[in-house]
Amino acid sequence: MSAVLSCRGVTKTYGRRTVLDGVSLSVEAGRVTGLLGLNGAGKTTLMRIATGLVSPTSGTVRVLGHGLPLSPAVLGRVGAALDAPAFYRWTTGRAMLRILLDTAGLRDDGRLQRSLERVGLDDAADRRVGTYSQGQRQRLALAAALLKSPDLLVLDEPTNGLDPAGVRLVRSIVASEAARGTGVLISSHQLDEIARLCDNVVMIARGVVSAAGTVEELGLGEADGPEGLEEWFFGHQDVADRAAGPEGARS
Amino acid sequence: MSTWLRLFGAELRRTLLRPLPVGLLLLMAVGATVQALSVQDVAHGNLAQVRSGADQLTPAGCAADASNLPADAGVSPDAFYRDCVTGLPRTVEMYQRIEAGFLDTAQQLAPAQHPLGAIGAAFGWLATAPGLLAVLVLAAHFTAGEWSRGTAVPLLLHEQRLWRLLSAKAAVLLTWFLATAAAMALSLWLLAVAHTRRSAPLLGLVSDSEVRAFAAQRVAVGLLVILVASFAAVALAAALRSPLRTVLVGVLVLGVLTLPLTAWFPGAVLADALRLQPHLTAWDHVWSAPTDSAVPPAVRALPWLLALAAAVWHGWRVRPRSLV
Repeated sequence: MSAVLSCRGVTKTYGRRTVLDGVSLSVEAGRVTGLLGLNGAGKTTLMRIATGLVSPTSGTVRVLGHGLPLSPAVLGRVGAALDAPAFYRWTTGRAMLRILLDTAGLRDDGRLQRSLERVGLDDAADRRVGTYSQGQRQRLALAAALLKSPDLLVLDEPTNGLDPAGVRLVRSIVASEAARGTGVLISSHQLDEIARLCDNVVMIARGVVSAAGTVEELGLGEADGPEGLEEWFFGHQDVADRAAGPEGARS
Repeated sequence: MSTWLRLFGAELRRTLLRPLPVGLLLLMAVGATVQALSVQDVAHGNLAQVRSGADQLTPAGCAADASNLPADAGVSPDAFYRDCVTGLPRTVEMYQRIEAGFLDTAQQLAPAQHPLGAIGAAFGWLATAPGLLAVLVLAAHFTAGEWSRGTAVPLLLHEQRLWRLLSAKAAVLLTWFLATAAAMALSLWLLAVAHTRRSAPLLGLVSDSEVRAFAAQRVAVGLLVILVASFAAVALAAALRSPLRTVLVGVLVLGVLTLPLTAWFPGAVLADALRLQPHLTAWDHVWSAPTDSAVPPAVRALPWLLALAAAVWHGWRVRPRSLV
């Protein structure tokens, strides 16, 4: 299976603070890779690097076989929803997606409406973004990511603020994208989501990979209920803490 | 090109009809109109007054003044008349100097009463303090603000060639400048048609060819200035990524460049290129006064344009920073 995203020894420092330290991971086409870690572990920075928004200090990143910076052709095959989604509050959801299409230089061949329908936002598409709930903004971010029919989909905590129906929708979209052959990198704090959705898991603690493998290899699928998942998570977190030493984060 | 035009169209739609640019456009149009009303009235009044005074500078005028001399003046009418007549040549010369200055100012203001000249006057305004401050505020809000509000992230996930995004933003600023120039020119001309052509007629002081030359020169200089200002303001905003820092640094740079230190400073170069009037004292407070440098403004502008081009080239080549 071919890797749509490959990171080798990626390090990112801001001044004297090391956010990522030699991170390696691979996302393969048609598979879902979950990114786990506490807040501040470096997940978002890694996702920003994978989407070309942030330059790594060192290391190699290849997206769809190409290095950074991403060419327009490669970027046209990468969909992403990062951070807390920020959009122009005065535009409607539909107008916002049209702005993004125009920004990408793409024609609307019906993909805008299809994206809205896929995320269940077609009813609210003509309302101003400023009136959206957090869940609706999250759906809009997902619709924006799907505009390009991506081969690599990067989703940073996409279920934040979503109701159970929204969570189920995200799950079905991720599954259908993976079935289509898209490689998905998804971060979440919801361990059961990761366990149910992902083929592979990469756990980051204090900027380093503390565990990586398939769900089965890591024993995530065998964890029993929410408490079992928590135990599994903190078990791996402890390993990372011990590896990091008494100083904690490298700063 | 067509994809850039779509990007430009998107930028235009999300920027131009927002309250800030529309408000600034209206403010500029109203400000130019009020200023024109005031300076045209003053220029006409000054000229009329000095000419009326000059008409009295004859022996007959001296005789009339002597006959109206108050009893407690401390000087006899005969002595007053003799002194008045003796001093006439010097007084006439002084009045002529004052009249020449007032006439110069009035001739610079007169074209604004003509549709073509009003366009030139609008570009003159936009190419100096009011327009440059406005473009700084707009660049800070719509370019630096993308980063501070977080809206740069979805944009950059769809287009990472920063030069395309920034050039579209600069082109929108240029469009705002042109729309504002049109609104100001229309407002100035309507004011002239409705009021100042009758209350403060100045247009007769200049020929049609002088009006055309005034308009052509100001539009040419103004276009160059607003082109450079649009790109420079957007580049500054993108480099600083904070609206407040953009405005503060921009105002500081603008303030330094307009210090009246040398005729080679951009403020002085622009004052000479636009032929700002030293008699219009507003410019002495907010802009460099014109100089009497023998070096043409275009030659003095060249080093600054080259330095700006070098800075842009350097920034383009280095680009070490992440996009967000």
